[in-house]
Amino acid sequence: MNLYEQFINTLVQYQFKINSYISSTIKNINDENMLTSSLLVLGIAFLYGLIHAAGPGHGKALVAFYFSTNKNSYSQAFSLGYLISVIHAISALVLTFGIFFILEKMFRQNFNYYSNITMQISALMIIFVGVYIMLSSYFSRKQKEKGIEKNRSKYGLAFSAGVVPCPGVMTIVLFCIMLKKYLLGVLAAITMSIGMGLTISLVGILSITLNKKTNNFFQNKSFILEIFGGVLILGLGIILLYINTFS
Amino acid sequence: MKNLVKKIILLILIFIYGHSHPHTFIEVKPTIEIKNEKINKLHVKWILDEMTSMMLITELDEDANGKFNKSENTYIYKNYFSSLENQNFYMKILSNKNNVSINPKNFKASIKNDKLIYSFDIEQKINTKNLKIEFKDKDLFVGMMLEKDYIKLSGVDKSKIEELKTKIFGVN
Repeated sequence: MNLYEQFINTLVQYQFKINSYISSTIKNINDENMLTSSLLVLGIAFLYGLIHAAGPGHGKALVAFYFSTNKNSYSQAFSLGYLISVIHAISALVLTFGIFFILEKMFRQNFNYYSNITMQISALMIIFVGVYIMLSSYFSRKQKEKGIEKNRSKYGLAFSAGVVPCPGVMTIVLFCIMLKKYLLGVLAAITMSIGMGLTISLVGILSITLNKKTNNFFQNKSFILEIFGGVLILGLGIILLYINTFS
Repeated sequence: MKNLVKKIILLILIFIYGHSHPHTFIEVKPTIEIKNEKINKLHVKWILDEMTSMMLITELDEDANGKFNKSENTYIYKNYFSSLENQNFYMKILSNKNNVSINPKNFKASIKNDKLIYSFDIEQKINTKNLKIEFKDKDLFVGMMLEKDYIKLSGVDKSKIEELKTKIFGVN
């Protein structure tokens, strides 16, 4: 087992323990321990989100590419990380409540179907954002509107990565719905997303630190790096689309 | 610059290698009986995590009586279990460095303590020379949990059981 496999294995072990702990705590909530148990579930959901997002996925590669190749501040890394996690949570809540209450049954099959569709939409959007970053970096390499365009690509990126609902969040929400603990389900989705947002933001901060070290090399030619970032994001979008369409 | 490119390549590899992560957890409990240096019987039990179990039981236990009848069992086998052939039933068996194809028999779904349980047998007589058995979803969508205590091994010298568990299943 190599180092990466060991790291993933450890994450899986922790997630399994937390997952079991959350489900047993939610099941054992009663009138007497309502407040303390609910707060405990929310605290664990935050931790679960933190660890869960450390595994592969959740747009971390996109965030890393974006901040490795764009000049940004640490606060922007936080805003992008949290924007992704907020959209992630909204998407998961809408899809879970939608499938459960509108389609009512065959949750698992519908979930797989809609999850695949959102993956494809996400991949197409990522391709679009990649192309947009490449073109805007090239055409605006000398001019002033860059700030506005950068924000546009940032929002596009956040929406592309966040629109795919997190099945981990959906599972907890669904579990709460089945036990008729609707409010707890919504709150658990929010706290889990806060945890995920923190991990995604940290990846952005690491990438900015990395980018700062290479800035001297590019000096006035930073648009080359941005175009390179666009190419990478475009590449990821194509890989994602391929995986979710043909495999 | 070289450093940046290296790190970016690493990120691409991480992204391609594992684009997913576990949302379902399965505790794997294998029972293995060895006879004349061959596997005489391999029984595998999967216990699904509580959240996934509840989601699936609500869907699959149509008469909601807390157990699966014959038609429900057949439905689960056809619609949920047999399709896992594409993932080689989350198993990899190597016998003397040769890959053994998995052909599960006697599939049975049941419910115990609100958890969904799948059990099945691997009936092939597999040579135990350099035997390696691994439970893993290569897409990492399912976390396969195996502990040393979960494994039951018989037909070998008792003093060697713990050592064999580590050797065959790679658990510590």
